Amino acid sequence: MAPMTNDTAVRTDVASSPAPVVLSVENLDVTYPRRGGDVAAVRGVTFQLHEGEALGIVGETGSGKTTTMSALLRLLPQRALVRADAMRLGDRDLTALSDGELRRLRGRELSLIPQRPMTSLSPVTRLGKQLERLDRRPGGAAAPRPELSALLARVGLGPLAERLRAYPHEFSGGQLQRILIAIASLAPQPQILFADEPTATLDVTVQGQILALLSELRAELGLSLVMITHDLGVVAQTCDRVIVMQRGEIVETASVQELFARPRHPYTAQLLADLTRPPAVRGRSASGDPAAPRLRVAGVSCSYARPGTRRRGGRQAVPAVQDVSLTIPAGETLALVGESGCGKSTLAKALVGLLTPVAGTIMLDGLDVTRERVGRGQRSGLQLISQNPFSSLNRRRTIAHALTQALAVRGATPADEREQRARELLEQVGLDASHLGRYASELSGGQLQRVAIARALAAEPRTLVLDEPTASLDVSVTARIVDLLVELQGRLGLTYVWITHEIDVARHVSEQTAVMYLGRIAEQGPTEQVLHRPRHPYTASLLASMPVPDPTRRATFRPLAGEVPSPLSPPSGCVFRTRCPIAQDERCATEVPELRRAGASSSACHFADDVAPRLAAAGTPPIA
Amino acid sequence: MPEVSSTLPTGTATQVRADRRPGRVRRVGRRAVAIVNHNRLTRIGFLLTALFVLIAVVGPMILGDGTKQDAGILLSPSGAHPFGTDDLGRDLLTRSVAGSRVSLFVALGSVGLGLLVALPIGLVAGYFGGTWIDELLMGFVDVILALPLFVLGLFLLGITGTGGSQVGPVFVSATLKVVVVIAVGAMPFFARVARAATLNERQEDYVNSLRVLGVPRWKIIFGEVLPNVLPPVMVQAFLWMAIAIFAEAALSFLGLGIQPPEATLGNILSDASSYMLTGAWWYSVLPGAFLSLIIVGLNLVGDGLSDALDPDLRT
Repeated sequence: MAPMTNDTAVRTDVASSPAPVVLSVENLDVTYPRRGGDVAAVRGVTFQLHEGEALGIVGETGSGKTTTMSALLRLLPQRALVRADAMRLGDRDLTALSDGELRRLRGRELSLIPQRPMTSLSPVTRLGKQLERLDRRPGGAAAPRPELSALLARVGLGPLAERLRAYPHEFSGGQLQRILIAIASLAPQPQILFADEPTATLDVTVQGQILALLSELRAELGLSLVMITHDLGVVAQTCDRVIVMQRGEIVETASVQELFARPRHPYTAQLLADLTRPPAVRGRSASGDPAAPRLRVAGVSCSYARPGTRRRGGRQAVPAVQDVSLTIPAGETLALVGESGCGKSTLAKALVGLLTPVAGTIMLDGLDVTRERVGRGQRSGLQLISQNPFSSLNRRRTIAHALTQALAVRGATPADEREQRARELLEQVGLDASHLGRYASELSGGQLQRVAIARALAAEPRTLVLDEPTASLDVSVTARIVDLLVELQGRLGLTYVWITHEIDVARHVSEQTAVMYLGRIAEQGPTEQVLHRPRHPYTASLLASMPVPDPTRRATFRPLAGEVPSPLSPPSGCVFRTRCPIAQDERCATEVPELRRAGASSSACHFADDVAPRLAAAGTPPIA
Repeated sequence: MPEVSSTLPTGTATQVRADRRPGRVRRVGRRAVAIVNHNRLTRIGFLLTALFVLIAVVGPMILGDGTKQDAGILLSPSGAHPFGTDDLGRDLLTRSVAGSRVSLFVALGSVGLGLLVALPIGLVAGYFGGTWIDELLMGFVDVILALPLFVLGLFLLGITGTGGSQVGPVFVSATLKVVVVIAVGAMPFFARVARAATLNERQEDYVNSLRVLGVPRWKIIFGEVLPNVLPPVMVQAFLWMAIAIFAEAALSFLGLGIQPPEATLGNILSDASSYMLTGAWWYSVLPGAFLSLIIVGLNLVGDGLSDALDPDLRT
């Protein structure tokens, strides 16, 4: 470690931000010693953070962004070797501080907002107790209760302040993240807030709310923010300056406007290009005969038995999907969007037969697959690709086993040809025979998702239900998987039901989009109509909640307030009215809106015909 | 393994297996070495256990079954009788070694039998977790769990008598009865561990994917879920081998197990109890230490396995 001299001049290299530098890092290396060669997790990272600035650190899995932060906060495991020419907080040398001194800095001047709010509080201690423990004043006394309540109110938990007696599991993920933000900003003299993917596990609308809260608090308290994320949309909406990391090195540093307008490094340019793509060019021949659609879902409702209610006079059912009807012509894609808990995954399960609907029919090429008499062979026309490729393959089986097993079930391939067919399937998804003998743990997420697709194709399906197929993949991998799926669709004439929360993906791949809210279809229609001229305030709000990867469009970033109500006691009338910016008291509370034609789409809103002007009047900007 | 596949005709089913086999053998081998070397205690455990198995298998072939009364009574340890002799003039080393064979048989037999019954119960109960099938199976398991091992032993041996007995055409030896008693005692624990692991596995997407593909349930349960459930169950199995050896000794000590003059570690200790205060320390201490080392070894292996197989600690 370089010895620290207090008279070292602090360089300010960015002319546009004259604010003093609060944090500077020079040539930070983090190495993990290992037999057979050390692993360099971070190499030569140099950056500065100015007072009041929001700095984004962007990169994919393994790029070293979290390691950089952990090295600064000295949170890395013992075996990690940290070396830096300098790490300074103001005029203090972080490398020269003892562990005890650094611990006092953490939680006082340096605060951390963790990635997983659900696991960041002790599950067995009441919230009030945990806050008291954290906020020990210099004298050793705990903060008085009213102060804690005021703090919770500050982060938007107003009516919940009396819930200091509640346990963490009684809060939603978004509420917990608010509490953690409260804890982070509760530090006596907070200077720098480190946010490590603070919204990665949250829903889009809640993500928007949390990002807005962070920006607000930052302005109010004059904090500097280090925002670590893989999401360029989050960066565009919240950061002033951006560092792009790849394989442990900084490849580009730029102001957020610069970065999005003129990316200099090819890696950045590729990331941006992958993110915003025009609709895929496909043979949109409308080959599907609307009279005989490939998949017709009519009036499907699903419900779950509420756990713990079984012994007292029958099960209480939780409705998850209510009266959903969809029609998808052969070779087309329907995008299904909505917040978690809206029933989209339940619908996916019902489509592939993992769940029997309580009402309604699902017709695949005119055959009702919900009937019990329909055999496996006929059902195999509908296959599922699930969200997490790391879980969708058995980790104790080889890829060859997975594929040949699927072929064996289908029965169309004789036993001695399955091996050859498995190779063909792998080639079809861009892998080769060398992957056959491997185990799931030896492949990357993208490769695993390709294998999962190959396995589904082994059943020779006509329709694939894709349950957020790219949600757990990195940006660049996402683009490749989307390309593969689009290509396969064109080649094999597949029909897709594509569940996604990424509007850009929906725009890129789908002809039709259906938006679900609390188990019901809110709006449905041609994708360009639904996503550009929404006819339902929920669609509009959802679009406004998406952090758009374009820093010039911050004005349209208006996250929808509130959270999805419990399906056990849905609001009367229109279920969306509790969060709707244009709801009117009498009509929306009493009258259930029917899904009806509005322009080229169908919308379940009483004001479907003039949603845009009403939204404008309510202060929500129009969608670009 | 491209070098293997290139030597085989293409497009055959054997090739799939050939593709898979070398990889798997090497993989399992590498894992085994990694587990043994997990830490020093685990290495000691494996060493003790290997030694125990070796002594139990080979020892009696050299030394005999330990029923011969061919030496002076209560001789203290010497070159000719390293463990000394007992009150009937039998060499205690020979008897201990012969007893360890019984211990090994009881350990493997009872754990094997317990697993055979418990694994299907746990897997099926876990796969249908929360349904009446689960409740029925686990209710049965819980009833057995409620019976203490020794009460169970008293009950069974009390009805059928302590020696061997003829059940229809089958002769059930006293040793076999002990094995059954311990297997019944171990079964609920194995079943619970298997069920818990299956419940976790049930959440994995691959189970759903296989269902959608139309793979029959029994194939999913026993072909796909079972290999993932085995590691935690194996940990339990090793710990129960130690308990089984201990339980056999305890049952025999109480006169409920294998009957004298057959040498078992429990019988030796039972006989020795009368001479504990007469100065013949070797009579109880040396066979007792031998028994302790076996149990410590198996426990260390079990602990090492549970650490090494913990998915959170794996790389």
